Amino acid sequence: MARAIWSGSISFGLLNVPVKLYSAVSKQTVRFRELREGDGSRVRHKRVAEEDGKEVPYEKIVKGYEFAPDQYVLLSRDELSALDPKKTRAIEIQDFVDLDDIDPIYFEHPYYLGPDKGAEKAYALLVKSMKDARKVAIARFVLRNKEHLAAIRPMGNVLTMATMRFYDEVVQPEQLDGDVLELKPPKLDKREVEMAKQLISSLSGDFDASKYRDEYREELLSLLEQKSQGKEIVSKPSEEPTATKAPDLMAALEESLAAVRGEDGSGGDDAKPKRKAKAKAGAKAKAKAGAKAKAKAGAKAKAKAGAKAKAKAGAKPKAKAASSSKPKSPSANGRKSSTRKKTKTK
Amino acid sequence: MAAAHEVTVAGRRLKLTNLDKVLYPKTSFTKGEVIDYYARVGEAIVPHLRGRPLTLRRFPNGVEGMSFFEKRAPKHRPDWVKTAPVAFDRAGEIDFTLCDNLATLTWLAQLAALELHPSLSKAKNMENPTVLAFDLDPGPPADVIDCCRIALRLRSLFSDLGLESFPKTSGSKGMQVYVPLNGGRVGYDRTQPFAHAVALLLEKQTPDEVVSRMTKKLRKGKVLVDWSQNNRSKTTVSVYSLRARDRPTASTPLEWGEVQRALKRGEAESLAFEASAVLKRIERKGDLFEPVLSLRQGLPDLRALGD
Repeated sequence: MARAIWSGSISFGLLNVPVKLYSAVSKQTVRFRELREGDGSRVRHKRVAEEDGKEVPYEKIVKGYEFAPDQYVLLSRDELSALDPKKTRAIEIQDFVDLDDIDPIYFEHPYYLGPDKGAEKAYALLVKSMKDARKVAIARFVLRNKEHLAAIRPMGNVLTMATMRFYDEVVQPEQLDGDVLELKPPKLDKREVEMAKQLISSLSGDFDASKYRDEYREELLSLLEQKSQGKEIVSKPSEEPTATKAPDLMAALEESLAAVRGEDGSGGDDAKPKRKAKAKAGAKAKAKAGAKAKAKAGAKAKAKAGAKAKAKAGAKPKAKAASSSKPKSPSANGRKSSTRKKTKTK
Repeated sequence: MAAAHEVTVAGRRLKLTNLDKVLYPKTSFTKGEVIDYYARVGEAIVPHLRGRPLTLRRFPNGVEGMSFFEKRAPKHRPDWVKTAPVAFDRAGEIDFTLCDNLATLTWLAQLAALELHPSLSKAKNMENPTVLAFDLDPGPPADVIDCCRIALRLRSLFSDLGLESFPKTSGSKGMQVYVPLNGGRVGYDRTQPFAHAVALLLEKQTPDEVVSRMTKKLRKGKVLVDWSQNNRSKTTVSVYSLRARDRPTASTPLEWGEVQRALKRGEAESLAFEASAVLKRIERKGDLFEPVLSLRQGLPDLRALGD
């Protein structure tokens, strides 16, 4: 069962189709962990200062852009996060284009878009209409703090979405001139061209993706299998649970809660408030008094203005609804007035 | 197609159309019933919307059809509908709808704006929210009962800090806990880091139950304590707003005792209130969320809060 990695909605104009994003790639890379030779302890990477070799905690790390050797412009986390693209849940379609107009060099990572719950019909409609129009949608969306360009196109009954490189990320062929390629294309012999063409046509066939396999990986996996059968496995050393790196504020909060709760700061679920019993009672009294006063004043003033309106607005649709074959016992007006009375006398 | 009905709401003429149209197919709940609900709940909900930039979530073809979020006040609006220009993210200034009265509320219901998401601030004072909000979002198999557990811990934490807090259902899967501020002086630059710290603390105490980061993958079987709603450019579903679920459930204020009972008995269903049940509750209990609008509280003075 595929797990959605993101959900949002495709939007263009006033249309809005809630969708979920699924990866179209199942990573088959064999991953290794780093262990210490001998006892198999897991190796952890630490960030240390070059100056004195001391570890630098995450919150003490700032980012510097090296504009000249050993000269940095510093940016704080806040300054950087201010630049983060606004987190929207929208996949905003900008244009519809022909697939042939997009060079594959722009495609980055493929995903599937599935309909979110309840949007099945709207989704099917979009797939069908895009199929019929034979168009690819170019869209923008934000995933993990990064704005992406993407191409959405139907594939059977599903939409695929490939993230795309931006124009300035792709090296244009002109930029290769003189460096990779000679400025003047060499002259070709007509007969040599013919021969090369023949060779190509002799190897031509239909593309079948399943024909090509990652042979290195297959060998690696079979080696791993053999070794694990032979029980050449290093056992996993026990691991301490890693605590969340909490900002200073949490520590301060924890501290002041511990002070309130006495010796134990972990906080029981139903722990009765120990401090500020008085303050609490005060707050409550205030809240209650406020509520009453407001309810009274508000209800009276509004009851008059609202009464007529509501009786009408309420009664009509109700009557309508009733005629649409859903019997509801108490009459609309009866319930209405009792609601109002209650609020007023409260 | 049914003819349009002209009604007068608080002295304003309104045209109501397609009242027979079913907006919640699973329960045959019609647009007429939606309008009726909002008209009845008006007295309770309008104070919670008044003066606040409002995001509409509209479902012109019902909860199973397409929907769209609308921040900009709809162009074709009666001239008596109030709006407020608010500078909002990259889009620049947006004219938001202000739902200040029953007539506007009825008009919004007529637009099939099933979900009403107001800002935590009033348009006149966008920088200073009137409330601190926590959205508790369970990652299956965690459910609303797990949210109850976390909500009660939030309550206990705030109580230790001398603060009152108020719970409501989200009307969807989770819950929200609101801490009234109302002083008009605390900015998002303080509420958001504070809320974040609270979420981190809960996560630190019980990493198996609470997660403070959005990543869906981390949420499985845990409750996301979403602190990020405390943001100038965000809106949160209003108390008494309907939700676009299978059934016409609404975000419903709760008493803490109800939260405790639901947790004790493990009855998730006891916390799902449909439109008619919400109206009955208001009749019996009044507006349990009234103090959220009136109670003045400040943030605790933590050592690091000033930074």
